[in-house]
Amino acid sequence: MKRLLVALLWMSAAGLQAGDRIWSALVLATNENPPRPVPANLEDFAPTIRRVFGYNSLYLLGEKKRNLVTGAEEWLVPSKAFFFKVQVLGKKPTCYELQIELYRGQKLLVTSHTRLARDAPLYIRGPQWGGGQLVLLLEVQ
Amino acid sequence: MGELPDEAALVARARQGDTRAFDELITRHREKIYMHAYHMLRSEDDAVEIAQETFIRAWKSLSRFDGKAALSSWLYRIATNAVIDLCRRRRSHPEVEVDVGPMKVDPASQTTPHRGEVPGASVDRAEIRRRIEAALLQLSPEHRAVVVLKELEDLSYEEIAARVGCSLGTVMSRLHYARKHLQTLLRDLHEEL
Amino acid sequence: MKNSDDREWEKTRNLLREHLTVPPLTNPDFINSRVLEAIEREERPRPAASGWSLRWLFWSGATALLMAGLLTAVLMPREFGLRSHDEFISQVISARAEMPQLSVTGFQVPDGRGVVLWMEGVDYIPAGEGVR
Repeated sequence: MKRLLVALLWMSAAGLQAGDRIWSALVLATNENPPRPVPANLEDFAPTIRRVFGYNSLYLLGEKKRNLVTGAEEWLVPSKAFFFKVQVLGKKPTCYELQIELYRGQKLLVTSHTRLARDAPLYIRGPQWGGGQLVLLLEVQ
Repeated sequence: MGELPDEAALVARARQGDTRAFDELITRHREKIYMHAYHMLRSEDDAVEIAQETFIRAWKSLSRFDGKAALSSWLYRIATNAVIDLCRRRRSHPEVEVDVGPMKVDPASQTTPHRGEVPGASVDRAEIRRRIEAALLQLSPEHRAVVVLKELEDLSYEEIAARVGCSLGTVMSRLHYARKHLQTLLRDLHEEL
Repeated sequence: MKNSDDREWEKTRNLLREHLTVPPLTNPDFINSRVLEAIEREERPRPAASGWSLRWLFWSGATALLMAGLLTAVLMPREFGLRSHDEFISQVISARAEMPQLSVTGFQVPDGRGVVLWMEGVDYIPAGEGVR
């Protein structure tokens, strides 16, 4: 009982809000005629991908979710080719300040200090592959 | 048989508001402008749109054409700027069409269908063209323009400089960068062929 | 004598020339007619605004304002204590490309519901190479 209490106190001190997670995905965006049905868990992202990147069809190649803990580093590996290291620098009621590193294999591609609000994801334009564009997604859920 | 009016005479008449003279100028230059726009954007619809936009802009700024450079160079410059503006507006490279043809895809599937491509297997012409286009479209419009004008339209460095409106040195350095970048992007394709 | 770089580039150039063909311009007169229509539209004198259309503009504007006010009152959540607008939007505060051939830019998604990191210079991945 005492251990449970300590764990709960630690979690609240660390700023963990129950249910806050960071979700990452690797998506292949293509143009097809007719456009293919959007996978259910990409429906929220499809309009933006269409508007910003110009593609009308999506394939989910991989996804990963992790808890968000202030100060902690998390590795999100939606695919073996592209993955993230995310460190939570700070937290406000509706957004997180994150240090994000994007890797391709062993190579660090990009480092970014980003404020990520809930329901306002980060879209990263990746390389061309398989007749389309790879797009990486990060979202606080 | 009557002679075709020379270009300078047509430009002079068009400047006075003669749309028939301008119509003749469009007819003389539309194919080349369309071809250049197509090389830049790899899309027929976009190329036609750019060709129209080029001539509309040319009409509006005819008074600024001093006749020192060739009309074609001036029109190319307008077309290239129109392409750059289009790319900036879209904030992306134009769409690359994908022919998924006879592949059976489960609409409920969340993963990409396996295309059955194995390294070393022969690559069909349509796929080669798509990959080359994708590589070309990875270049910025400014770099793409010099590669297209040099390698596909066979212009001299001086002609390219006149058409894109920059110095010879800038043309040379953009070309150098664009060639290196394209070679890197297409290295795998060389190895497969 | 050509060096190896020139020979390499020749291979690439040959690929470009062989495969980047241009489809013929179908219906080229279409370009002429569209351009001349656009010129004619530009040069046609605009009709003076009629009293009726001004009145219509006034009432449609007033209605739009009223609708906007009603929607704001009904749909915007009321909360005690104000939150900064910034906390509801994502933002790229800084971004750095870690490889020399890469460049990266950050910008807001037009509707404000997200943020984009736009990478340039990432190598094309051949279709046969796995990414999953």
